[in-house]
Amino acid sequence: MAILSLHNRRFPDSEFLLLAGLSLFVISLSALPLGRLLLEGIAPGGTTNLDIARDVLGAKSTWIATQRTLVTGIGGAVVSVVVGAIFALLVALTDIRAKGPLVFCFMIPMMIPPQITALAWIQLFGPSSALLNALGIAPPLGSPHPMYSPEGIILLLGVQHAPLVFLALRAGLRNLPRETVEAARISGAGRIRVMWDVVIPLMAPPLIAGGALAFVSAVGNFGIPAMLGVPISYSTLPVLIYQRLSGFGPSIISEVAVLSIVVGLLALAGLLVQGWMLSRRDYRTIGAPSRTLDLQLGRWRPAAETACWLVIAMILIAPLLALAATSLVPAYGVRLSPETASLEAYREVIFRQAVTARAFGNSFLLAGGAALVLMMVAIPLGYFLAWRRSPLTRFLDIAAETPYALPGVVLAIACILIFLKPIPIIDISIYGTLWIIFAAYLGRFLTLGLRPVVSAFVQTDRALEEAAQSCGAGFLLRLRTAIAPAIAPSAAAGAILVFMTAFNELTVSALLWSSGTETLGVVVFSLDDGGYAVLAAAVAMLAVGAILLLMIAAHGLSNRLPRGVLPWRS
Amino acid sequence: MAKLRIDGTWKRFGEAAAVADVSLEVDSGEFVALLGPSGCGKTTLLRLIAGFERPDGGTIAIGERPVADTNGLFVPPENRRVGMVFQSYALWPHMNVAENVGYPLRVRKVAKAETETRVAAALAQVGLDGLGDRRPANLSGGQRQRVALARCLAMEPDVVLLDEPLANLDAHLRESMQLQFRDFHRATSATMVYVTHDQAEAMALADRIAVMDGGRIVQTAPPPDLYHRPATAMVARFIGRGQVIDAIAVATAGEGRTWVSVGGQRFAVRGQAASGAAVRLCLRPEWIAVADPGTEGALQARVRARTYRGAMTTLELDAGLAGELLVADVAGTADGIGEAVGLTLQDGWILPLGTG
Repeated sequence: MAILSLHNRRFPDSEFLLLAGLSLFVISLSALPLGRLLLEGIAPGGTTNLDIARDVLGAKSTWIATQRTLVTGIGGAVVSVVVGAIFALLVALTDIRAKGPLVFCFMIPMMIPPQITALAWIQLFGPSSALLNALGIAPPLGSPHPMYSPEGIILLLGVQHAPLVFLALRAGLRNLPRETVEAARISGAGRIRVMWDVVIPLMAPPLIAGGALAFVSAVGNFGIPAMLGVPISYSTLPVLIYQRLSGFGPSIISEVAVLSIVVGLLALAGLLVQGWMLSRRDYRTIGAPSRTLDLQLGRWRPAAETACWLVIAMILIAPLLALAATSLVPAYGVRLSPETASLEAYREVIFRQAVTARAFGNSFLLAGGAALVLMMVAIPLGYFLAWRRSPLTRFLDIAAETPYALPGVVLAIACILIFLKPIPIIDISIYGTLWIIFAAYLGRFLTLGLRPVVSAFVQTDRALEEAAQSCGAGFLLRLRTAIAPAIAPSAAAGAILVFMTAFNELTVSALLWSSGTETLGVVVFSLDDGGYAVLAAAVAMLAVGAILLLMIAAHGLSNRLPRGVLPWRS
Repeated sequence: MAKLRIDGTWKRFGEAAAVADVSLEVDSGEFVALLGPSGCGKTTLLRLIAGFERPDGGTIAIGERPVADTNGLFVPPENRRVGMVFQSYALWPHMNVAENVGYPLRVRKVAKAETETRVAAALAQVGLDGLGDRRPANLSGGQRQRVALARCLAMEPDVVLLDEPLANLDAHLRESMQLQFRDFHRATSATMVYVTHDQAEAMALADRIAVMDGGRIVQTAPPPDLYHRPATAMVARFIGRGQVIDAIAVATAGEGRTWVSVGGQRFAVRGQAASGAAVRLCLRPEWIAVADPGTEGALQARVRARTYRGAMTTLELDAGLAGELLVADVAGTADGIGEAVGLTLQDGWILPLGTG
């Protein structure tokens, strides 16, 4: 259809070829694998046969895992909504101080990969906690670990995804017309009353949207239920898929394909419920958004500030301290003190263990490569998506979004399906190499790199291009000289987001790695799984340090970025 | 209904004073308009009365009750018994019309039956009977404004504040809503403070107009006074297409009138000034009469521009007054551009605070 819109041009010109190339890129990394997965569900191995689907859907284990996925997904979303909403209301509507640092700290849990969050909380509680032992308040050996439970999974899923609700609600509150609140005040309603009667009902759309996002993310989360659920045989669907695949190998690919379709459907159901809830009522507000409300908390302000920082201390500082403490003990279970503290674990993972050193290298290559390629793709693709809308670009938009919106296991299984056999024409098999992980990363994180670029294009005057055009610059020349420089900071921000996310990625690589292609996420997971908690903590500390450095680096870029590109910036 | 008293009130935003030493008394049942160009502080003054802003000095009292003073007393908006109609209407989209109107009663825990009667009465008074089940999104702009008014009515406030309530409506609707506000005022005899930048709207509605400029009230007077006896050049220009020219007082003319010299001719105008003093004169387009050129005692002028307005024609005339053009309304169509005419001043007003 884009071909039609280009009918009056020289044909085929550079513009057409570029769009064709971008379409091929997006379709082969997103639509094609996902389509192949759906096909596998109804026609395993190429012939229509619903027996496998029937067997899988009839198995008790499938339903137990589905039920557990729902319980932890809904529970986690509820925790996210409560925590995220309270923070958003306080930050957006009141006069509490130090909002910038507060938002930054609140956002960090979202940036820390789930397996590290889980590891940190495991190290925070329980009989072997280096931190609690150092303080002499650890529970006695043999007592059950409180985090190894459905409640522990729900709590961590909630903490991990609360920033999603926070961001959605804060954006909504910024657009809340001040007069709707003032009209209620003048009608006689006090501050609390206004919250319940006006602010929260009007904020239903962002709350529902944020809640749905938290639910979908929780359903697809692998790191947290894997680290906390496996020791007590409590498996959600992504964990079940992982266990099946690592137990039986690619021979049961058809079976796990059906399971991953179920995960995808659960996520889709969450999004459909959101759409249905939003369609029931008209929430459009009348009137322009204005200066944010500065509700004065008065004598409650110190209490509110203390409560906020206590929450930050609980969900961020204490777990990270616990992680740091564990990484410093010479052996797991040894009491941490100034005399026993050692950097031995760090020396071990950096210099001696081949697997951890390799994992650092692999993750760096994968994340750096994905960031670089996606930055190069995002600028021309964003150009077509934002400035040259057509039915084809709308399809590409959705295709680019889907692999990230769906749980990671779905894309991972889809990639196995499509790359298990050698790639046609060139006849090269990438299964079992770094390249399959790379391909999956490109598909999954495309939208992370693309979104900042699209929003930069939307906010940029197209006259920029037209001026270059009137000077006689051809398409590729003006893309390179007139457009790319203006978009570059946002593309860089997108690349940083891609790198940060991919560097510690676990869900996709856990299903795609093989010996020699371990990623950082896989190593943390397997070290902990194998009982090497101290080494796992050391690797995790290094990873967290890298993330914080990247967040600060991106922050330095923030003055040159459109608003909203960096999620943690207020 | 109660009277409203504002005394020496200040409000600063950073260095700039948005409201500077403003004093204003509004009698019980009076309709006062706050009029001024944008940025003059009129909306800030309204928000000070409502309690959305905290004054930096001065006192505000509603009825006999102080609501803000210099000793730190500050009654929050929800306890002021003040009603407000917002420019954007501020209807809550998640409530229907009846719920919007009944909200102040719900907050005050008025019994359900009474709430229903009062909501129905308020809706009837603004001509929206039977629309209680509608959603605000399904109403026209004028209807939304009426709902906002009904919400204000239902709470039976001591003082009603209106913040440019007609600014978002088209010209035709604005006129019919003006009538609605006047009926509303007559029926309830509510104490009303009405913010607007539209002088015609203020003249049509208010018992008294307080003209604001640069955070201060320049003049408070009934509309005819403001029109005929503006205190300053700013008021003269802001209202009724007033023009201000320089003149010299020559002699008193009795009955509060003074002879002034304009362009070498003598005219009797209202106002007082010592003989020989330089004065500033306010002229209205209809106070200037156009005669044949060469008429005895007339200023000689040339037509620079003419605008046909139907019942009359507006002429811009160059009478050689330091480059200032005079504007005059004459009946019917009029002479062409470039023609010579004679001008006489039928009326004029010596600005008492000439330099303001």
